[in-house]
Amino acid sequence: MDQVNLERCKLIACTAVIEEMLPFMPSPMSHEALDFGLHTDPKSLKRALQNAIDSSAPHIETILLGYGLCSQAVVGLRSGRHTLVIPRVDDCIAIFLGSAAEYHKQHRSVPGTYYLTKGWIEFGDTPFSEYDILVRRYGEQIAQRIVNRILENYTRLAFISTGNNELEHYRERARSMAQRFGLCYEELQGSDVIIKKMLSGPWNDGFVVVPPGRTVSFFDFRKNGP
Amino acid sequence: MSTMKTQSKLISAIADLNEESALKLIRQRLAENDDPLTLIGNCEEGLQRVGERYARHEYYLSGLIMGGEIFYEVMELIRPAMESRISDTSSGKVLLGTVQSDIHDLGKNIVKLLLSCYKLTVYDLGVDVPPEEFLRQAKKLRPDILGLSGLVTNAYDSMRETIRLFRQEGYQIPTVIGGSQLSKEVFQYTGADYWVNKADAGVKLILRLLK
Repeated sequence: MDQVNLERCKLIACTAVIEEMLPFMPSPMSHEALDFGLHTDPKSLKRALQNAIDSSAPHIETILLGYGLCSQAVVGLRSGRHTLVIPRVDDCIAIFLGSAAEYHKQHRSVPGTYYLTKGWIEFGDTPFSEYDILVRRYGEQIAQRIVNRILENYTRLAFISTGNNELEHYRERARSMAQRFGLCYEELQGSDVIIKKMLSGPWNDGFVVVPPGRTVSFFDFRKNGP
Repeated sequence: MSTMKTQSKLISAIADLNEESALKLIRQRLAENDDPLTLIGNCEEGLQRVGERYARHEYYLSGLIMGGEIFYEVMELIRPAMESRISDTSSGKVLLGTVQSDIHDLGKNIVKLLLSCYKLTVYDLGVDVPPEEFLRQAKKLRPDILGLSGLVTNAYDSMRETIRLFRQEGYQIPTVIGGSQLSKEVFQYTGADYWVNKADAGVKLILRLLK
C-alpha cells in the first residue's frame, strides 16, 4: 500500500464492525459508520453505501468497505471517481473469523449456527434480543412459538471472541442466550487478519479492488466465474 | 362474493399480524363461498406489507416469521376449499430441498404447501441437503422438476455444485433455484435453468413447466 496516501483513504463500515477496526486504523484515515439495522434490508444498505461513497470528501481517492457480499448489498455499487476495496467474503462473520475459508469450514461443519459478536449483541436485533419485546407484544406462548420457528433448524450459538476488554460480560450474555433457547454454546477464536490487511494492505486475492468508473459485480466475489 | 372492504380487512389483519382476526375473516369468507384463490391473493398482499414494514424497520425478523405462521394457519383452513376448486390439476413430481450449508426453509415450505394444493407430489428432502443426496433421491424418485432452495450466500455454491453433479452424471432435469436474495448473476453462476425469488412465482413457474 506504499502508493496509497492514507489521508486520501476512508473507511465505511457497519457500527457492529467498525469498533473492531478503529484500534487498527491509521490516524490520517477518515471513517464513517453506517447503522447496523441496515443489514436487514439489502436495498436500503445498498442505498446508504452508495450515498456514503458519493458524498465522500473531494480529497478521498480510496474507500475501504468493511462489508462482504452482505446479501448482495454491495453488488451494483458504483465506484465513481474512487477505488473501492472490499474483503472478498460473504459477510462480516468471515471478517471476524479472519478468513473466508474459516467461515466456510464453520458453515459446513454446523450450518445451523447463529453467530454473535460483541457488536451483534450490542447493536443487533437478534431473535434473542427480540424475545422480551415479543412477550410484551404477543404474550409468552406466541413469543415462544415465533422464536422456536426462527431457530427451528439452528443447533449452535457461536460467540466469536475478538479479544476486547469486556469479553467476559458478552461471553456470559451469549452463553445465557444459548441456554435459554436450547442451543449448544461454543466460543470461536476471532482473528484480526482481514481487518489489519484491509487497513494496511496488501490488498491481495482476499480483497475485491474496484477501480474508478466501475460497478461491483457478484462475480468479483466468486473467482471461479459463471 | 367478497367486497373490496372485506378484502382490505383481511389484508390489514395479516399486515398487522393479527392472527385471530385473520383466521376469523377467512372462516367467514369461506362460509360465504368466497374464491380461495382471492383469499390467498389477499394473504400474499398482507404478507407483502409485512415485508415492507420489516424493510422500514417497523417490524423485526419475528414479524416476518409471524406473518409466515399466520399464512400456514390460513392455508390449513383454505386447503380443502382450494383442492375442490382446482379442476385443472397438474400431475407431476417435484423434488425440493434447501441446499447444503443452508438451513433456511420458510420460502421452500410455502412453495411446498402451495404445490400440494395443486395435488402435485412433492418430495421434500429438508435442509442442508448435500448434492449427492439430491442426485440419489432423484434417481430413486424420478421427479419431473428439481427445486433447489437457499437464502445465505454459501447456498449459491451448493446450488452450483448440485447442478454440476447432475450434469456430470448426465442426469437431465429442469432445475429451478429459489431464494429471496437471488439475482440474475447468481442464476448465471449456478448454471440453473430457471430462478425465482418469490414463492408464488416459483409455484406458477413449476405449474407452467409441468403443462
